[in-house]
Amino acid sequence: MAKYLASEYGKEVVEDAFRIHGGYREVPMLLIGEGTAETQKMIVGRSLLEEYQATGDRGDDAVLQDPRPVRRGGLDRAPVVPLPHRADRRGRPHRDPQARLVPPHAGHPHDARHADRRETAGQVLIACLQAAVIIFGSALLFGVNWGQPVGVAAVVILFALVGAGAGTFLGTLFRNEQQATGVSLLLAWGSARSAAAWCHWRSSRR
Amino acid sequence: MVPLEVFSPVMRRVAHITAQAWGNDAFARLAGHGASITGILPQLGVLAAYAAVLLTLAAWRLRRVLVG
Repeated sequence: MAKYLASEYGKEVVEDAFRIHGGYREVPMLLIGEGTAETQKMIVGRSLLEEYQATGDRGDDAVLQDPRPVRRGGLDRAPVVPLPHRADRRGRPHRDPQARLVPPHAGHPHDARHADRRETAGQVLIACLQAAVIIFGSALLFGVNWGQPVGVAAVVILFALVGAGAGTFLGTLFRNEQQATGVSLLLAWGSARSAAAWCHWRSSRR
Repeated sequence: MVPLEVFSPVMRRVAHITAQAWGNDAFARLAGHGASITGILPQLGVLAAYAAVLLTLAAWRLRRVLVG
């Protein structure tokens, strides 16, 4: 009984410790992983803006002081006036940051200009760190020889850039993580099945 | 993941649509054949091209999504 009790308590303590320290370890990564904090701020800012009445010629501050936050009780929404449509000569929407509604601290155009670079830099950093763990870990633990260090570093950095580009691009095509995961699984499964079917067809013809 | 070496020549060529195949080739040359960075320049070039195209697409899409 004493052994059982001690084991149970021990397990609880260790699990708590894992949760606390695991969380501590993960939290700094959350700031740059799966969308940098800047990107999240911009998404929050944009969704908040959908709730505001938009007028074109008033300044940002005037709009933000508009005391009409909406969605009281979820049903009576204030009418949302679409942003004034300005177009350049080719009919494309005019991209003047002053004409856009932006809260001062979230979704600022300044963020928008740099968000993609920060997003990419964060992803590249994480990918390189992961590669470094694998490469140095396997070299130290198992004596794996990866070849010329300069060459390995070049491949890792370029491949991290490829991954960051592909990940960011695909991420913009879907509304949430579930969609992206679902589509990627479907693609992977579909291509694997077609490859298997093709190999089967080839071998049956021989 | 299946090693590229076990693929038939045709499938190996098909697999080289992916950036992973080029990265795999580069690592195979570095580790397997003791190549230096000059020995993997073609692979690095292809990876750089992939990175340039994908990052351009990503920056364009991300700005559209975020700025609207």
